[in-house]
Amino acid sequence: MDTNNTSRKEFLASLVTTGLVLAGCSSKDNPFEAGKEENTQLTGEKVKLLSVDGQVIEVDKALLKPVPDLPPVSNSEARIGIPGKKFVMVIDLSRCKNLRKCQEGCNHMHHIHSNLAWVKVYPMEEGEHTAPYWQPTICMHCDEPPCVKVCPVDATFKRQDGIVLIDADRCIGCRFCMAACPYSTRVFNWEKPDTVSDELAKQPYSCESSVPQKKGTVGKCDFCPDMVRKGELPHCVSACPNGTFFYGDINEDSVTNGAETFRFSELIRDKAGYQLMDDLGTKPSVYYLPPASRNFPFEKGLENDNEKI
Amino acid sequence: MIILKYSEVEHTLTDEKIKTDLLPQKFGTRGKIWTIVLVILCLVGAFAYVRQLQKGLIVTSMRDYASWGIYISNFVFFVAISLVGSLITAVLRLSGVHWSTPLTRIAEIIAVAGITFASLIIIVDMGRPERFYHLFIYGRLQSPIIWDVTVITTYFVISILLLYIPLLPDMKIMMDASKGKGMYKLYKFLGSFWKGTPMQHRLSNKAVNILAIAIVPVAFSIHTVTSWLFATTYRPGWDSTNFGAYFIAGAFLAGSGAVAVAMYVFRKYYKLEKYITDEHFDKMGKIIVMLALLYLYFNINEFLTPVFKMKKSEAAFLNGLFIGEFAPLFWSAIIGGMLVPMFMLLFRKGRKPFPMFIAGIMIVVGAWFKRYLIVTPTLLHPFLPMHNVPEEYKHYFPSFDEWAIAIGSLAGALLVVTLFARFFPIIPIQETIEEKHEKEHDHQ
Amino acid sequence: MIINKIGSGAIALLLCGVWPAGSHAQDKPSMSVSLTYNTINNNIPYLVLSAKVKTDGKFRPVKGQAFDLYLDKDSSGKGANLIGKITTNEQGLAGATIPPTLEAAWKANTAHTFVATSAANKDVDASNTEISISKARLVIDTAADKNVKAVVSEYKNGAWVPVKGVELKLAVKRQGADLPISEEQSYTTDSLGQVTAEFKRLDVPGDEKGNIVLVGKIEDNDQYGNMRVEQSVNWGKKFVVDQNFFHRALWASRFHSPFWLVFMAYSIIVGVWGTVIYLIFMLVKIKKLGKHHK
Repeated sequence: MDTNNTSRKEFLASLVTTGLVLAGCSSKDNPFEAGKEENTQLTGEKVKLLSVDGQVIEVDKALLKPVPDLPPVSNSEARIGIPGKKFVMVIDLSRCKNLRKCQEGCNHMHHIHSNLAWVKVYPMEEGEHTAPYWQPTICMHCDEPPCVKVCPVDATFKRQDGIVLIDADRCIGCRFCMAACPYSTRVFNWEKPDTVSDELAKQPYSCESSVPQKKGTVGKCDFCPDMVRKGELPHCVSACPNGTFFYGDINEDSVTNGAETFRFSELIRDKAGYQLMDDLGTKPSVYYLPPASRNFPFEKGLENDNEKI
Repeated sequence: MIILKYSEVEHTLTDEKIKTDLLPQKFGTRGKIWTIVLVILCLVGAFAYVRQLQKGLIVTSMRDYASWGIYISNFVFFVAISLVGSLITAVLRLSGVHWSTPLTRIAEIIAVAGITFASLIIIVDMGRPERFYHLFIYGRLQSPIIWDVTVITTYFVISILLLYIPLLPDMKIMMDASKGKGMYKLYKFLGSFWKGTPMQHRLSNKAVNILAIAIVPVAFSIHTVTSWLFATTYRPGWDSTNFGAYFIAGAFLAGSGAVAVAMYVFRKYYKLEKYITDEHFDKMGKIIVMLALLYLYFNINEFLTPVFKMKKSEAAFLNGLFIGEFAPLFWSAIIGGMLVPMFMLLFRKGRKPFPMFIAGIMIVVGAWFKRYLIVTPTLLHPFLPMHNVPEEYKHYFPSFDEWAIAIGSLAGALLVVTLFARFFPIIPIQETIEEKHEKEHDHQ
Repeated sequence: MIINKIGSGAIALLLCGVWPAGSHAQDKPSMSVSLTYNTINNNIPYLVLSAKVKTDGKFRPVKGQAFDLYLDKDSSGKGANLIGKITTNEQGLAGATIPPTLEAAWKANTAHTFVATSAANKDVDASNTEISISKARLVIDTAADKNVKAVVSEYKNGAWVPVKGVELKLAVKRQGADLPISEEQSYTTDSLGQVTAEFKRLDVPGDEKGNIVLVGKIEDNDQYGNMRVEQSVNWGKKFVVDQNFFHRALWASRFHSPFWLVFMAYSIIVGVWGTVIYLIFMLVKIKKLGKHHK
């Protein structure tokens, strides 16, 4: 899925708000638009527009403007999360070919160096006689996160929507969370990131966008809450040409990779989804679908790999 | 309990002689060179730290897999060494042992120097040291690091008190001896209010007894909590219920080794043969043998059971430690740092001052490498493969800056001990005098 | 004639050759412009224009490009129906609604054409894009339990006339996407312009009262553009959010520590530091005794 479609969707989504408001539909069940509604103050100035059947409708001018990008949420809001949601990801291992477009997309949008990628693709092989496969690994956003347990200053925290975030303004760089994470998903900014331009470094930091990354603090996959607030999908989900990543809300029982949408419970049941290292008691939010009837042989992924296995 | 033969000591020593013998002495050429070398090492470390502050932790060899390196192993080492204060000053004293009295201040200053530099090196390891105060205003009670900060602060305060209160009677002696000289003001500030009245003695003894009782659980806590920085994670080599006891046993051994070294050095250069006698070395040596056996027992426990099971996640780590890339270091630390010194000290001849000194050095050096082996090999064997990362991420050898800072911190600790011995009596003067009187009284 | 053409062609070629080397008229990348016509909930139709240019093999959005939008006729005709002048934003998108001044022209026909033109500038060539649509609406009826009826009709001569053969999709609105209500990817309207579909996603979670939002959409239709209709219906399972998050736990924030930990930690700290403070008092007492003693 290319980024063009998502930005158009975003644009449309902003107009959808306007449309919904005009039609008088209640948008209370969609918490994203609640924020937009609160932001728009009616100016009292009316604008005349044409409807489909040629009627002239008057609309307050404020509701008509395409709503600009949501301002980043405050730190306390970022720590609480989006109420009513519980985000999960399902990764279909039969589709992964080690193209690492997920990695490229995530690195690009978060301005991180490729050595410090948040999405990693590992060649996995359970035992001597089992078949190898490629496994994209991200932060599991565990429900009992060992990293959060050990953080001394509340710099990494779990929100009510299931996402585990890092506050780079609070982090003291002790790296205990890195030692505690069994999935090796955290990276550390050992130096000032050269992927962050001076201009970007001056921008206000938001835990939800995790941009800009700061020297001496920890970083990891953040489930892109800034994209999710806009009704978009995380960058890795959009970037994968094979639709390997499915993202959704377990409370709504639905996951999507942009093109296909499934009921989460059915997908896991039908394809025998499982979690990684769940015996450790971390309760991860990322599920994997085993590489049964895979689309590509494992060797195809070796072409794109710059490391001998 | 063995009663020391004080007959020799009694006849030749008067109170005055004791005082003059035990006063801190000016450094000769060797002492001055030693101090200058330590200062240089500290300065080199400080410069390296400035570089680290400017560029970030990239100047070290730590990367995303080996995210803890010799700063942390140095930290564990310092905390381990500092336990000896509680061992000699508290445990032995509470057991009614008196021969260890000359060694209490040596042990205590090693403890204070150790715990001070443990705190400093941990700040060095932080990616954002300027945010150190976050630990206090945003601290999470659930985090083992917060427990560690709490117990280390407590232990520091108690050790300082345990160093200071018994030092008070000696301050008066120091003031008398240094009238008109520069240090007089310092001694006056520290202890001019000590008049030696019975009431003061009573309070002081009571305080020291309370401290001795209090410091034992606190000392056990600091090293147990430090071990929990590792044991509360899932990693192979760290996921062990044995860690608390294992660390404490190792700490006592390492600290005793350090005391043996210090005993020899002070005895030789301050000519304290009458106070730190061969008997002291003999007894200390026996204690070291016992501690080495205890540590050996815990090591066997720590390694035999995982090797028996060879769990998949632990297999690579264990192989690396025993027959792989870490094997030379591991076996040197075990054999050179534990078995050989222990074997040496089994014999009476081995418990003479000079062999004890050598054994002490071997134990301390072995302990330092053992701490490194606890921290880094585990990190280089994560659960998921190390793939698609630069080659340097898969190995760890400390960079120049790391060595400079680590050695600088060790030099700093030694400097604290050295400077203390230069300006304060390293053997408690008043207590030695009192012990002599007690023995004379007993004999009458 | 032919000689003239060759002549003018030759002159053009000559001019090209003589042209200063700085000009790269033929190197300007061509802009790819797409125009879509959209309706949400059958209300106000709007147009979305997307401008992209291919550089280094990748499509990049063109920002700050001005376009003129016309209804039915473009700039070359007199009495052109200018909808508006729009400029693309950072993502290369621009939007517009039909102003009421064109009410008469809009009402005149069912079918219309929208034209977007842009002038050439130093970066891109001039462009001219147009799409043709017909006015229509999509209505979903959820009166029958677990059955959806959707009707597509065109607005002809003041009345809504059902249209046959239009492909539409029916789904449940979810996080970031729409979940189709059954295994069928899309439905096609019959001769009555109707689609009847069974809601197969039983027990799909809704809000606390079991409400879900049903979505009917027509995507990229040649005649009707994009249409989307949303309607709330009570066919979902009641869902109450799990309150587990707010309990005290080892992984909670520093204000939600487990009680046993708080109790143990503070008792130990109070016990030990109480002793330390007592010891410091003793030290102060010793000091006072010394001062009083001669």
